Amino acid sequence: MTAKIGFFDKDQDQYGLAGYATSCRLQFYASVDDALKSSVDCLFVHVRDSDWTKICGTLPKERVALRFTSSSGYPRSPPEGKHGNCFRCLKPTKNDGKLTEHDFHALVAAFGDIEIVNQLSTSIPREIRDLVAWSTVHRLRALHILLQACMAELGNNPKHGAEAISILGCLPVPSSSHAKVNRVELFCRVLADFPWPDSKSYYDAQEELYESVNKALQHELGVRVLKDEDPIIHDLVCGVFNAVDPDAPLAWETIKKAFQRLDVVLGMLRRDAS
Amino acid sequence: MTNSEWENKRSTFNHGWLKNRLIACLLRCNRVVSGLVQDEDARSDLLDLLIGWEAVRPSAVEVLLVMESRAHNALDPLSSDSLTLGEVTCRYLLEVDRLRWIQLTNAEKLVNDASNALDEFDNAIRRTCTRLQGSGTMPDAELLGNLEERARRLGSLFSSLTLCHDSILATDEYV
Repeated sequence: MTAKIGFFDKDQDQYGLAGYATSCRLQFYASVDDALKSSVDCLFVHVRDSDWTKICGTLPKERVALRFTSSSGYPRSPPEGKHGNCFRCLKPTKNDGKLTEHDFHALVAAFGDIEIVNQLSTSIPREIRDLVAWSTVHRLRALHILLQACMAELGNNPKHGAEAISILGCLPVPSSSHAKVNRVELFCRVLADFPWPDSKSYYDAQEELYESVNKALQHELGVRVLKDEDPIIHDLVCGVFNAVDPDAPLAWETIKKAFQRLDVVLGMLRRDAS
Repeated sequence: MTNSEWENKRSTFNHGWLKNRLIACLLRCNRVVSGLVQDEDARSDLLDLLIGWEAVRPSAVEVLLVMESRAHNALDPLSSDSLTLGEVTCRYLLEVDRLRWIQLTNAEKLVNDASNALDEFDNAIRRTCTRLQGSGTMPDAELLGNLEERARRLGSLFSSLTLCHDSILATDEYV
């Protein structure tokens, strides 16, 4: 099925986004509000930060947006927006390393295919990986897999079982008492790829691991200060590295909130919905 | 086959061959049949693609077989993951992910639908190829339209295919 693409260029620049989009006969919008009110599936935009914030905050999950810049392209970063459906183009529309016509046609082909659009949060087609992509989020993916198993284990818990199963969105999974997934030592290995520190240098090593994991997660989440911008994931990191006993479990609320957060960040809800 | 290899194979078939080459060529042929353009190469290009289908088909089948296998069999963890997290733990983490993937994506039905669509597409290709080889003219719009419809249906289904994770700590270069 074909997805319709519309564009808004704040500069209406025939040598910028407007020029590329007009040559591909994309639907023109005179303002961000008009573009948001429209029914097109995809928006290509060249906007100010305030308008991008508005798009990220209001674009419904069945639509996607791609932001362009005329200066130097955007760095790789995770999808933005309430539904992880707002992306940035890595190449600029002008200057060194600018988009070629072939690049722009590849973007139009990918964003014009509704099946591809529905999967952009989890999978970027090879054809546009040098145009729209984000650094690997392997720590977040590993953390999500571990939290998912913790939720499955909690599915058998008399107190939280029903809620855990409801959040997982599927039937209970057999538990494995041998695996013992909910223990901070395992979270430490997944987050830091490092074993639990021994007792001699415990506090210094914990601090060092905390700093390193904090920095890595900030990079993967595309935030500057994890504590302020993603407090749920930060709480989990603190829960792990403030623990003393390596076998201590994380609290239900910490697991639940972090799992739900990563379901959104990693696009699980979109995959489910599509 | 790793997830990355599978994804490359799926994308090469679905976007590289089916959508970018076959459907694009069918659209050219449709314009010729409609009298909108003259394109003397369209018929021979289509015939080349249809003859080449036999060489492309195995990779499409393999994509479905790998997904079907995932839907029915537990995964062996990578040794690198097992060394870091322990084999029992890795098996459990991967199995939970696999079972959730099967349920959330309706993986078994997807494979079944894609497999049926592939058979129908295969039949349509053979009919069109026989017609092209038996005559020096362009097939009629109905035959071309039928093949395009089946190609689009197959492309749509292949776009929706996914796999559960095959590793826990291993990294891909880019998502």
